[in-house]
Amino acid sequence: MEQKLKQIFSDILKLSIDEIDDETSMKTVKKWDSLKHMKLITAIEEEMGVPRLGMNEIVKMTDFKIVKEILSEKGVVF
Amino acid sequence: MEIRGRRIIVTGGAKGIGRALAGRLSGLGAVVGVYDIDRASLDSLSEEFENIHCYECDLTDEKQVSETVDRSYREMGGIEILVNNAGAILNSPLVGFSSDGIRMHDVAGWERSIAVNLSSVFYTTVNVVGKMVSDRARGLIVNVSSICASGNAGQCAYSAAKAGVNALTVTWAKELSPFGIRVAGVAPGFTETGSMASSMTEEKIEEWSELTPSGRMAAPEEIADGIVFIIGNDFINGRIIEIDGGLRI
Repeated sequence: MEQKLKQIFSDILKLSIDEIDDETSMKTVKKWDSLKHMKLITAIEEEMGVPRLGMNEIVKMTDFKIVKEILSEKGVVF
Repeated sequence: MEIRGRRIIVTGGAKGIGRALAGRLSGLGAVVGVYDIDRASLDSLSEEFENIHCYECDLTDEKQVSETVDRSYREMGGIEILVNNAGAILNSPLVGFSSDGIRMHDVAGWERSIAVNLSSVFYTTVNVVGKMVSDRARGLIVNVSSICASGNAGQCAYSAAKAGVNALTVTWAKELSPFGIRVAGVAPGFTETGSMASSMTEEKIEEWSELTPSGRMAAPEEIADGIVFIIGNDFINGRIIEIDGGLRI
């Protein structure tokens, strides 16, 4: 599932898969702005099959590692 | 978007186009809330439509708007659609002449027109969209602009404000689509409203009616029809539909 999540990040943020790791964050990726963030959230919900994320979770999901942690809480196995 | 059961706010909904729309939406089964500054017209609206939620609010006062959005959101159980209809025509060229001599556009009139026609749209939308985003609910914003947005001699403040409304419509459509919120608008031409009657002489109204290919002014219900169409068609996004009897062709 990590590969699938990386692919989503790659598609939305236009990064190569190799560039994406636990350090990938809004702070380090300039292209990751508010609009891209919502596109990322929508794509994660649709493609990872998780229920609609709450606003508190969306606000926290600003790096790849935290995204994985929150998705794990939703039952996604990495 | 299905209208029945939707919770819809119409600003400036106690008179004119807004009133025609509020009545129409209520008839179609929506839960309608109206924000308006005119207490007497709100009372008359309440008498005619018992199920419409009425809120007295000065939309140029952000604090009042914020409180009114909070209250209506609570009482109506949410807000899914916002129609920014409130506005007021101001006839004043940059340079005017009268028997008293030359008269320049007053700053107070400019500021008032921008506040009523443009800032009010921002205040209401920023508060309502905050709720929509928190709820992660799909939503719709419909802005009532004007064909004056392309520039109408004698109405510089009003035209500038409506051009601003058009810019907000397009910008917000781009910004809010990822949140599942659509933004669109209508731009009416000359319409039979109290605001129009009080801002133009009968001769002027007749002159503009003759210039309109359809040969008359719009009825408020015809503009309301356009807004109902936008609500129903989920693929209309970021566009402002001109309903002007062909005046701008």
